[in-house]
Amino acid sequence: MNWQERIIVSPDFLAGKPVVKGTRLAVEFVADLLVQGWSEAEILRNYPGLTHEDIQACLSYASAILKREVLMVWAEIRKAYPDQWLIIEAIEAHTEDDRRLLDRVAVVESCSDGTAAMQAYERLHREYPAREFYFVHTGREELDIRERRWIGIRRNDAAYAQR
Amino acid sequence: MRLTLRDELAFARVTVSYRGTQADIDDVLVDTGSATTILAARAVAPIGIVPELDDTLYTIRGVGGTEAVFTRRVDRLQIEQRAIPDFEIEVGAMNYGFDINGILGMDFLIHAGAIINLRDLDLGFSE
Repeated sequence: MNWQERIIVSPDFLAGKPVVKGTRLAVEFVADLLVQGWSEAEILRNYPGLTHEDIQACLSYASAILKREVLMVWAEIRKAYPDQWLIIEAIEAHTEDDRRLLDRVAVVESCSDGTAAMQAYERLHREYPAREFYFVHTGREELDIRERRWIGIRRNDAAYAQR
Repeated sequence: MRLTLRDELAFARVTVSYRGTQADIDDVLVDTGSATTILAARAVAPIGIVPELDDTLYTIRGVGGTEAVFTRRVDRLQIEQRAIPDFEIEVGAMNYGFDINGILGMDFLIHAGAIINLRDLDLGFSE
């Protein structure tokens, strides 16, 4: 089942929480009902805007989040997080010629604009320097990331000076 | 232009012009070992250089990990009297653990006819 067809994340709805499309019900709200012991039948009866497939999608989304496997393909990300800035992480990636191809992608954060996206990227990159993050707007048709190699700056750091 | 020496590396001040505003940026490393020029996001954000939807994205891979950068054509990149118009720079976080706001690369230095005088710590330009 493709949860991307049922769940939407957008800064315009419910402050960016994942929401069941066509409703104002957050995914976490539905999950909490199940945790509290509501049966699916009771949920559908009390929230007539929801379908069986919606409840399945909520569970599927929660599972994907836990596996940090939220989405694999850029086209799916664009559909689930329309028209917004995201910080994404390349869980698996490889390079072909000078193109960086992201094989598995996780959505880390949604940001209100390009400035916020750059700030979020800097914060995450500083905290997790070994992880590969990108700041991207879902309006772009392709990820199209190019790679450049860099040897780095070699300065005379006093701690390593051979004097 | 006086070069500042810090940790045996040479730094200069550059002036960036973009969409009608400009900023002076200090602590820019003069680097003949870099083909391209990059400026720190924090230094250029005040003049409106922030990520935009259809930017070209690069991943810079090297010792110590990777860094994501975007590129932008600025109106002008200038050092004292020498300016290059319509100049493309990379913009990145540049958290390298010391004070650096950019790297001035060979794309600028060669085009500008830079003369790097380390005896007198001066960056000049040929006629």
